[in-house]
Amino acid sequence: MAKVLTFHLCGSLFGLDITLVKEINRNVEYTPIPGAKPYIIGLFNMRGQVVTLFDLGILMGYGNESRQDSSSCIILKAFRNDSDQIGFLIEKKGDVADIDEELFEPPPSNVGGIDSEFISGVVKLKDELLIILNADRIFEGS
Amino acid sequence: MLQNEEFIQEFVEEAMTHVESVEAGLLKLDAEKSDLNEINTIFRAIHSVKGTAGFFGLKKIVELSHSMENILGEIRNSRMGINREIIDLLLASNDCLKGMIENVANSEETEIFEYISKLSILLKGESISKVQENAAPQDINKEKAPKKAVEAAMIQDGIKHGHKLFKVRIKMNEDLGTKEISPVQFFKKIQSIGNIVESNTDISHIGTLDDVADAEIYFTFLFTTVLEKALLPIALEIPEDHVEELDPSTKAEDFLKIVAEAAAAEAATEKVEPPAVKEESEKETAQAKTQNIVVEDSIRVHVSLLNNLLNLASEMVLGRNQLLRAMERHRKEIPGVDPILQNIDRITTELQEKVMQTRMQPIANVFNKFPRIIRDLSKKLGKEIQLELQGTDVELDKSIIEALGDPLTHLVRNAADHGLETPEKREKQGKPRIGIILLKAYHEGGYVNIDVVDDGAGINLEYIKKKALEKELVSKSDVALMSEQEALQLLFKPGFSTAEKITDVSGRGVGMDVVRTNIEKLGGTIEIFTNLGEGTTFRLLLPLTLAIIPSLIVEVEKQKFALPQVNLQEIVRIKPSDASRKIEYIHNSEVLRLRGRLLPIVHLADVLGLKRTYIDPETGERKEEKRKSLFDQRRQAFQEKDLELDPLECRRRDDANIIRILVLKIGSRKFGIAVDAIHGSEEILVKPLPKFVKDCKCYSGVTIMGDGKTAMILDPEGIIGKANLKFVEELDRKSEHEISLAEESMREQQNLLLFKCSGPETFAIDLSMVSRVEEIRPEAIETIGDKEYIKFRGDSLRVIRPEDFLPVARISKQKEKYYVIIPKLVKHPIGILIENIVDTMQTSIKLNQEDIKHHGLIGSTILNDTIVLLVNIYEIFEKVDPSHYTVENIKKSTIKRKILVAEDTPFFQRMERGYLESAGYHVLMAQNGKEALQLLQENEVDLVLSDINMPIMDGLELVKKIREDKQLASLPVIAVTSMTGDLQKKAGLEAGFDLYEFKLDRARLIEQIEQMIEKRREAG
Repeated sequence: MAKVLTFHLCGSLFGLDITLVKEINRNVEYTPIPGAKPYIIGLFNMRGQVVTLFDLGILMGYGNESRQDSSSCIILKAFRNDSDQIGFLIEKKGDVADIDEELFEPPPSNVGGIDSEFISGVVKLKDELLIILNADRIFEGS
Repeated sequence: MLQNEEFIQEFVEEAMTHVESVEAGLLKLDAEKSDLNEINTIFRAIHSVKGTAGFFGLKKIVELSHSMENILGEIRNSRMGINREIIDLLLASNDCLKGMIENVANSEETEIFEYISKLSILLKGESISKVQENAAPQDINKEKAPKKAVEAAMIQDGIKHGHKLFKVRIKMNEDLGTKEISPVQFFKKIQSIGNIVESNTDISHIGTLDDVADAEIYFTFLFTTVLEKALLPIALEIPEDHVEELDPSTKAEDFLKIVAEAAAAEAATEKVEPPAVKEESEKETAQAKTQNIVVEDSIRVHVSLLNNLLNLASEMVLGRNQLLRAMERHRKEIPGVDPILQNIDRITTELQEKVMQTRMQPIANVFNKFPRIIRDLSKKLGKEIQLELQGTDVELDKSIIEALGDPLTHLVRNAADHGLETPEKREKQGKPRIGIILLKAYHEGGYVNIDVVDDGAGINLEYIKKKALEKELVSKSDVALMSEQEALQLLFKPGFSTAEKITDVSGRGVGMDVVRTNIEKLGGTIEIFTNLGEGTTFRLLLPLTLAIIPSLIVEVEKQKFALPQVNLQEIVRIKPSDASRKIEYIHNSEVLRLRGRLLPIVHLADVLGLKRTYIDPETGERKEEKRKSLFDQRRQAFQEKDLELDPLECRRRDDANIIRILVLKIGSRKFGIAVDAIHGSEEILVKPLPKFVKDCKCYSGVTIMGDGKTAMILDPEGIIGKANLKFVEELDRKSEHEISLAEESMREQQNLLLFKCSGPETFAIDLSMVSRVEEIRPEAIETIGDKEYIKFRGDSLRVIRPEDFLPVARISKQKEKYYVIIPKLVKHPIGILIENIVDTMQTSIKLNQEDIKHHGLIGSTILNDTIVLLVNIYEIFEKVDPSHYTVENIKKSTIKRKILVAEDTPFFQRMERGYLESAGYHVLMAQNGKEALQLLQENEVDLVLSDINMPIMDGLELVKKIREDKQLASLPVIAVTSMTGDLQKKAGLEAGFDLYEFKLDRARLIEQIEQMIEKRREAG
């Protein structure tokens, strides 16, 4: 049993181990960085710390639908000794779900390419699939 | 619990400062010989290292520092003299010590036998080289004898000062660990109340350093102090039974035995039983009593804590800004809130400043390693070098201090290796054998400058150019047109190295380009000044702190960016409707004429990959620009609709389309960045770039602005790279047209004194001709015959009214007061009586010489819509007193001598031409150095008079070029200038001028010219 924070992005339901999440922010005012990689939306100031904001959709190869006036974002806990903070925009926040280990499966073999790297597994919920993200991979960027 | 890692780290930091002070002290001894104070300092430092190392059972460090201490003790007691050999050995030993301290964990494996045996040889008063010649390594045991002597001396010394002798034994974990006192702190505590004579840590049962944390360690030391036995346990916060008073008459050897035995015995007995639990209350009272005994005026704080503080302080500033903005409307409404807001405002600012200060460190931290480097270098290079340090107390941010080490070392090495000549060569050139390298830090204009100066050979520009050509870094045509600074900039090109042969010292594969990059990374710049045969100066300009830099907030396409001000030269505004100032095109590249040079313009939007837009004057909408030539579009759009629109609206839109160009200068490279808006300057806190955006070359960091939003900090160097600006090629685009433009805009400024006489006319005189202006009352003017006089400094001074000699009206009226202008540089002073001082102003004047012509006037000009007459006092004086003021003409019978005058200011052109022609010379005029050189090729000239400050090519460069030319080399060249400073004079004479004269001192100038021409005629 593990607690997973779920959210909607690009029409799918995603989940992240809640212990990796620092906080969820609404209405962030970010500054775009001209010239940066496409999956980087910009930077914003979180109480004096500069957070890099990702577009997970683009990073994972889902396209850039996720950017539509969503301003909620999930900020991840700083990774190991990394001083860089990252966060990503989401479309809609879901619930915190208790996940039964038994329902967890590694990514199916037909999910290939870059996006499989970002997925640590899939949970079979009653009426939909919950894609569990691999936070380590997100920190690597592209 | 003893936190082993942390305590050892503390020891390392502490010991490092000691060995560094030892090094500095030894180097001073080296220079100044026996300074007892210095020896004492060194001795104490080594002693401290030994003592604290003892706590940790670092045997090798103790052993080596002990041997060094022995020698130092002998020197201190004048039983031994200092010589180079001793100092060399002590330095080498100190290095070894440093190495061991740096790598504490492996210090026990370090081989120190060599140092110890050498030290013991010296201790016996023999020379190492002699002993080594004929003997095998000495038996180290022999040094035991003098060892005791040192300790005995310390005890004797203590007793003399009323000290008592104690043996103290402590248990490291129990006595120190539980109280969270680190060994280093404890050692300091002991040192603060007395002197440790000898210490012994029993670590025989401990395997490695890591075990220190767990095992109980016994530390025994012999100690002299003025304190009574009863007070000692309280002072040291240890149980009473740990202290034992000893009889000072006991022999030193016995003490040592006591110490060693005691430690071993304690270890043996107490190892078996578990450490006794002390009563809490007892400890607490002991601690309370002793709290104020150890007074420290500084604490060690970890840098990460300071960084956190810094972050918090800047957050605080942000919070304050938000608070102030939110409360702005209520300031008046809520009574009493205004002073509170002001107070918070002020305190926050102060807090931030103070936190910044905690990161400041004196530059001495970098400078202090150079005496050693120089010492080694001089040995290696066979050069005699004296190092001078100035401004070592200037403070810079820690991060800058740390990053300065490498670039400075490189520059100092270069100075020693390439800059300074060998002693023999120096002697041949009449220089002192010892070359000087000066490191000087000082504040200037909000920045810290660091000069690395050598008095060596200077940089041979021709050689650099040749080298650059060989390496194909530049083209031939570039080189020909290069100015001095441009040529010097070649040094910073990657792959450029001037060393004739690659030496061990400077041939490290690291070039000046790396130095420049490093300095620029810190937000600084680097400049070079050189005089062939005299030396070279490298000047680093650095911001005070890395973390906070003054920046300009600029906007492009609705996004804000911060631009560090260090590189900002000026801001140029261009209105689309202004026809006189516009951006022009060379193919697709935009350029701006700026003081006669074409300034390449890049658009920030283009560099960053943003779409450029403009506001359509017709509709007021923001439109995307389809053409690259932004400016034309704006202008066209503006002009087409110019007449149809309401002028006010037109103006508003015109304003919205103003282009602001920031002129940036990095080294000698200059370019303009066009932005849409400028939001003023802000002190910004620099935060590092997140690693995800490191690939964007245009940014050097991130900052959080006053409104809480983040903004990217622009990196001019990166922008140059991204925009593909190539700077050397640009040189050969200089056209004749530009040169004339340069003359237009680089006119020398003149300081004028505007005054009125009795009539309505306004007169002006160049301030450089005025010695002073006196206020006088009409009664003070006395009339003798038809002449008027005043008393001035106890002498009578003739005064004249300019009206009497000029074609202007004289209106008789009684005034309450008058002024007298006392002129400068005339042999027989005459005061000029005036009625009113209008103003003084600095301006470049356009002289109209034709309309108003009269003897005594240089011409007229218009200032502030008034016609101003420029007075030629020499001509007036000539009229007033022909006998004294007429310069004797040279004999008309001889051939007319030709004089070339290089002068850009019309005012001075006319002055100089005037008095040269009146003295009978034929005068050729040149507007600048370049023109002068051309005229020299075409005409035969007897003498050159040249101004220093001129556009295109200044006087210094002109004279250098003349001296380089075989045909012209012997031509007399006199510098004439309106600036008379010894420094400029020196620079001028060094550049090759024969004389350096004040341009308005007519009599002297003519005299000098005649003498020079006479001399030349006699000679050739």
